[in-house]
Amino acid sequence: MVDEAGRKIPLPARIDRIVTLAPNLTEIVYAAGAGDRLVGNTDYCDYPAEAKQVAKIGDTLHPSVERIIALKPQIVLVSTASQLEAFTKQLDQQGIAVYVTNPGSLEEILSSITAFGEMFGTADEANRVAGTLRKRSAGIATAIASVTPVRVFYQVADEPLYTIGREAYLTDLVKRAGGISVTADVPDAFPRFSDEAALSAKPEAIILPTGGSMGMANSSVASPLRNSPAVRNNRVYKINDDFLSRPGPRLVDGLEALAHALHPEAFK
Amino acid sequence: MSTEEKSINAGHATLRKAFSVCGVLLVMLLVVLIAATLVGSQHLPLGPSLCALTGQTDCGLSSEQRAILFDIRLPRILLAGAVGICLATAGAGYQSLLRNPLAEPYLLGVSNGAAVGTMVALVFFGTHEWSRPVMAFAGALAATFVVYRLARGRAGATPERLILAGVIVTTFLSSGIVFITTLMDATRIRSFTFWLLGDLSGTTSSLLAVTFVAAGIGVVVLALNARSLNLMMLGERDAFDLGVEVGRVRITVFVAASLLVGASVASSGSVGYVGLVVPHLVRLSFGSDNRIVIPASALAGAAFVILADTVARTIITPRELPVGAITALIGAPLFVYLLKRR
Amino acid sequence: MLKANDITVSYGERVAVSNISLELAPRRITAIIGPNGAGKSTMLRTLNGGMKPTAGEISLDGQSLVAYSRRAIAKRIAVVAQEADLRFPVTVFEFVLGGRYAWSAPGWGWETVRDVDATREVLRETQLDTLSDRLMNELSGGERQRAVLARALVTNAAVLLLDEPTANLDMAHQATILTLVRQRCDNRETSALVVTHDINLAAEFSDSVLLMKDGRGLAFGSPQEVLTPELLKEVFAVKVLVDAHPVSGAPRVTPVHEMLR
Repeated sequence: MVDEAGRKIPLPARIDRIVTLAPNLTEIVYAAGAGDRLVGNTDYCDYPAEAKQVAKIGDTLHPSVERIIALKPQIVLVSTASQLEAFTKQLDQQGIAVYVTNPGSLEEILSSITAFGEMFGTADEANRVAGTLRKRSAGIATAIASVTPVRVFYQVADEPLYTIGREAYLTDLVKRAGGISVTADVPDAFPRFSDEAALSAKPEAIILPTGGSMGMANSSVASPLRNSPAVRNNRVYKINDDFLSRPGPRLVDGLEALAHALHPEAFK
Repeated sequence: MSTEEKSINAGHATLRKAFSVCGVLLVMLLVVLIAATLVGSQHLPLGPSLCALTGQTDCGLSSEQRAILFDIRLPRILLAGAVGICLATAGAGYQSLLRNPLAEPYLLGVSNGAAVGTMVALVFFGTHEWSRPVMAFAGALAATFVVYRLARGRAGATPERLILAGVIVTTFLSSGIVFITTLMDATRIRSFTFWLLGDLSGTTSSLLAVTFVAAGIGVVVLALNARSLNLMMLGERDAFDLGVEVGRVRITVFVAASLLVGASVASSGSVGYVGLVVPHLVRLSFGSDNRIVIPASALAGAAFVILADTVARTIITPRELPVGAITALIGAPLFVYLLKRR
Repeated sequence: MLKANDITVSYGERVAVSNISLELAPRRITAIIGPNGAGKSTMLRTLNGGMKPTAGEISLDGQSLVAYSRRAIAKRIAVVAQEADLRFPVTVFEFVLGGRYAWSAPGWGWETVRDVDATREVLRETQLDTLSDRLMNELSGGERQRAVLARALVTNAAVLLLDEPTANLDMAHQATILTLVRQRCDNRETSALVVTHDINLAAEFSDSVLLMKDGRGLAFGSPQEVLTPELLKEVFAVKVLVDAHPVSGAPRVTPVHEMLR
């Protein structure tokens, strides 16, 4: 197997013990039909409900190597390779494979699901789930095919003001939902955004990712946006942060929620 | 000119110098203030903006442009000014009191003390806006006394001991900050990382008022102790011998400086090096007399932070940098230079 | 007039000054001589109110020193320390003007015409008038010490306390400093107390000498009375030769070291 970081991974024929180091990867493992082989995941892995019962190994950036080794996994799935070099080496020495995958778009999520299915020998289940998700996403594409795009401001945090920029997969997701992010050209994935520019942006709709496992207390519109057309026309939408901030199978739920919010007329 | 006339003029020389220095700096501050209101990530037409700033209503600005000018840009610039006043005069006060040109609220750990106070207030008394400046003040005061006690060896506080004590207090409080962030949710952690580096956006009018009141009180109290500080910066024992009530002045200046740092940190986080850069430049230009250095630092400090923040909010528009990154960029090399020159 | 009445000063358990009485009369220079740790500087700091006697009393112009405010004392007693701490650039004029602190109004304390005149006069008196706009740390050691003395003189205090004022100076500058003190005492009804290690300088310039050892006063009197080989041997544990200075007639003390014999 070769992972997304281009590393060759020697894998046993059958994998029974998996550890994931990110909530989205946990969700992808369950979607691929290998959830019952998960022996360890992070403090934030809370979906599906069974994931909560799995042994916890810390969080994505601060995993406990000792606890991982004690769980005797055959493979550890991580979403970022950069900060984990020493960590990967330690696991290699223990004969534990480390597989890096960091899906950043709907397509990549779907291919991660099928790749996991192949890896774990659950290809049938994985392909079925991926197919369903693909169909749902295609359904949205059809529904909004002829709508006029709505100008959207995606508020990541209100004080100070953060939004989504050029490099965020959410900018693409907003587009698929029939919107256009007013900050689509701003460099970075999650830029700190000027109050003045926000006031001038005049979005027609505002998305507030709220709640979720990270407890986003992002419940009110930032003050420079309070006079925007979105607020005047009552077009502020709170969407579960877990649907949007976790690039996993539920991103399709996020896409549907977004599309329904932006274009209710398309789903009558 | 007769001898008598000469003496009369000389008798008021310092007062006159203070007036002319402050007059020049005030003009400079006004120019900076107006210039800063005319630039930002959104372009506003020059003429109508100037017209609107004079208080007229029919200047041809759209309601959105008026909102940018008066609701976003101006409060932020005023806050930058207040923070500059606070940090620069506090720096001048600490330097004279501790007889160390390198003393600065951020480097002494006093800013971090105020930051811990503010964070405690936010985590435990989140709903009471007043708790933030009050706790920041308490934190700054506690950090000031700890640094002072640590720095005071048998032979008095040497500059090296003082900087070392500052480093110890800063790192200790930094770990406190890390600990408190673990008690916070994700959104707050993100805004705190930004705030800790100094962030002037999104101020409220009550916080702005608190900062200005604290700045006013602090500057007046420090200025009234300026003559005593003039002697204390040349040695506490000599000052005592010449009639300065050293203990009383020390407490007064510590409390006033902590008030200044607390107010600025509660409203904008830790903007570093302002208290180092500004008094240094003021002394270089106008001499060491604190009766001039303190009011001049207040005015120059306001101009300096307004300028630094203008750079921070325009250089990578529409994104923004924390203002503390800009002040540190200017301040850290100056610190190294001052340290090497000694 | 400053008087010490049988004072004792202790740092916790350690007694630094024990049962010393001293009177500083106008026009007179008193020298305190003794080995390191004899309590000379403690004595001086106590006379100025910088330390409180654990027993006995200091009186100033007939009133107990504790009744005076810090400013009131500073108007009447001036101290010259060994070295000024100059980490900030100040001009000679600013530095000397600082001596007028006790006379200025509290708060801003803008200097008055009187303050400026007094400063100018003292700068002339100490021959620093041409240097008044120079920075203190640009001066030579001798000039700087003269400025420190000038700052004490400008207070117009009737009592001058000098703590090793000539410690780091060459011969010419030592004499300049003490000549200025002598002139001030003679012309302005001032009394002076000089703590020094330089016995010959003390013999030359002082009217009376207090010899101290281990916090106690061993002898007090004119230089001729006090600076005897017997007393000096007792205090410094060194054999000395005392003769008369060929010009001034003051006692001249020369140590006779072991290896010379």
